[in-house]
Amino acid sequence: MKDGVQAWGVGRNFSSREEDVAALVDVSLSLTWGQFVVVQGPSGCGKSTLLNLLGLLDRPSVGRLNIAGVPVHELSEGGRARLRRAEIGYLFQDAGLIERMRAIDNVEAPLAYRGVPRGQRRATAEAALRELGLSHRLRALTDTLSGGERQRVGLARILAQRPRLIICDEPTASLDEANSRLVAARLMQLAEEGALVVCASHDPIVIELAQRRIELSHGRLKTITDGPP
Amino acid sequence: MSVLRFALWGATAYPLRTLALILSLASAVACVVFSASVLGGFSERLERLAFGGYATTLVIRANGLVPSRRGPPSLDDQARLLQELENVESSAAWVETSAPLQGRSETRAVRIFGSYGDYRRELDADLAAGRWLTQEELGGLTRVCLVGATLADFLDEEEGRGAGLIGKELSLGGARCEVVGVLNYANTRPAGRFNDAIVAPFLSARRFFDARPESETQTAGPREASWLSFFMAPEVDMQDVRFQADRLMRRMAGVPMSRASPYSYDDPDADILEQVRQRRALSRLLWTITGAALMASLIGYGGIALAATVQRRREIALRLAMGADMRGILAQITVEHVLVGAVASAVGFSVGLGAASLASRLWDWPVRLDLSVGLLAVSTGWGLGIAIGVLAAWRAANTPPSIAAKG
Repeated sequence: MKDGVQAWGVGRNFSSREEDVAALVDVSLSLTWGQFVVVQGPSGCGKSTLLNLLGLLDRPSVGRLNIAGVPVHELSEGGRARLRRAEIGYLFQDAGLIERMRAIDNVEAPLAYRGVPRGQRRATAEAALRELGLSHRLRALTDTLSGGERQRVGLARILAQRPRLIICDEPTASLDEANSRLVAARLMQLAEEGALVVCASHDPIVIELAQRRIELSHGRLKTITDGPP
Repeated sequence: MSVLRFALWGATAYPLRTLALILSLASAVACVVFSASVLGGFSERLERLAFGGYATTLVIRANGLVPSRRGPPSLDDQARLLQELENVESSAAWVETSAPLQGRSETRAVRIFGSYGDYRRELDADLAAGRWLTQEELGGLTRVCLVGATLADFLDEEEGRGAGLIGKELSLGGARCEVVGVLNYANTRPAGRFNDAIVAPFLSARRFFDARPESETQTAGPREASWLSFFMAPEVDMQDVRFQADRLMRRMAGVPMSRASPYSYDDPDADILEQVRQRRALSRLLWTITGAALMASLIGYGGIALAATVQRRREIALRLAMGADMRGILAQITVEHVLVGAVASAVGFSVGLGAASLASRLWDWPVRLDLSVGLLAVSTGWGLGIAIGVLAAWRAANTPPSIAAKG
């Protein structure tokens, strides 16, 4: 039970003055470490909401959720922050870099929050960026990076961080084919090394690598399929 | 260390925003420092102009409401009091008379002050030309005199700050008096009465220059004074001094304590308290204006700080996603405001002092800043900046991390 992510009857409602929206309804699933999982479905079906819940960026309105054996629905904000710091990495559509910050500092930031000594985190960040062919852009400000470079810096952050759970939201949506293949291959490699990669994507390059596919429709879990499409 | 590094980055990554924060807080600090400097300077000058050493001067006159065989205080009383009273720094005896004086185009009555003792302290004016009266002249019947600044302007045809009057003889109701010195304008308000007057030796004034009608002079003896002044040490209790002086004067005049005193003792404290009240009201008005300017600056600072927090929601959410906790974000933004506040306080302090110094040069404003007031201004500006920063940091720390996913 301590492996990966388990959800039981998880739902998320958004309330406003005008209406209540059930973005995610009664989702139960079990994902283990070392899997590459793709979440599919049309826009507005609840993919991002599910990823936010799995990535501890949001709290479920109902249901129970365990990550690495920890019942996260019972955790305080401090406990959730500690779990995010220790176990979870993110790769967003726009890479999620802090603007006006150097590439290497962006890669270093999560390591700084983990309390890694400065010399060690600098070496780790440099190694991750070099591995992705960005040795010449270490000190470039994020504003000066191309879309592909930004996504590679985001990926380098995950490589440096080595989280057990990686949440990706359309990581290749704004990339050309070469960069898309690079990102997808690296994510697959991380899964093979033991991480659980959960990725919302419409990109066939990503989907064809998936070992498990979760399909959502109108906020509900429609199907879970193992193996390539 | 990471908090400090992130805070330094936060303060330098958006230079225009940081500059706006620094300027708004610096203007608040500068405003307070400027006002404190100018008010401090004016307060000192006003006090000097208003009273000088008058606050600790005991002035003894005849009590006009109580007839006495002894008459007004005399030079003998002065000598006795100088022996008996403690903490007397110096003393002067004055007789006030008047006489007609021929000017350039008209004749007018002028006041003549005959003096004996430490007369220069009560004159409280510098010498514009000539010399002072000597102690020998003051104790004798020499016909020499000093001319006040206003009267010198009236008399001097050359308009050379009275220099042309030195050595000339003035006719005071027929008696002649050689001018040996011309005074500048008095430094303090009580000494202003000497500006339009002549100062002569006590006995000469009594004997030669008193041209008042007999009805006004009554039967004043040659050693009787209009008033006696005793300049006390600054730390003395004037009420106590008045009591001691009255006891001695009563003893010499043979007047028991059960009867009204034949002498009056001026109470400069009452004037001083009134002046202090007026100055306090003025200070309150100026500080109110300064306070309003301070509030406006701080509202501007708060507005920029809160707007910056809204602008940085994605960055803060990304930091939360990367593992920062609320305390870390709170610490980072607070340290940013501490750094900005430190720079702004230093800039504001320098600008405030610079502006005060400029005003001093351009308009001859007196400027004086107490170190404690300066530190209070800086720490207040800094403290309020940090308080606003903590509020902004609190808002930032409550940013939902899910915003990180919204590119």
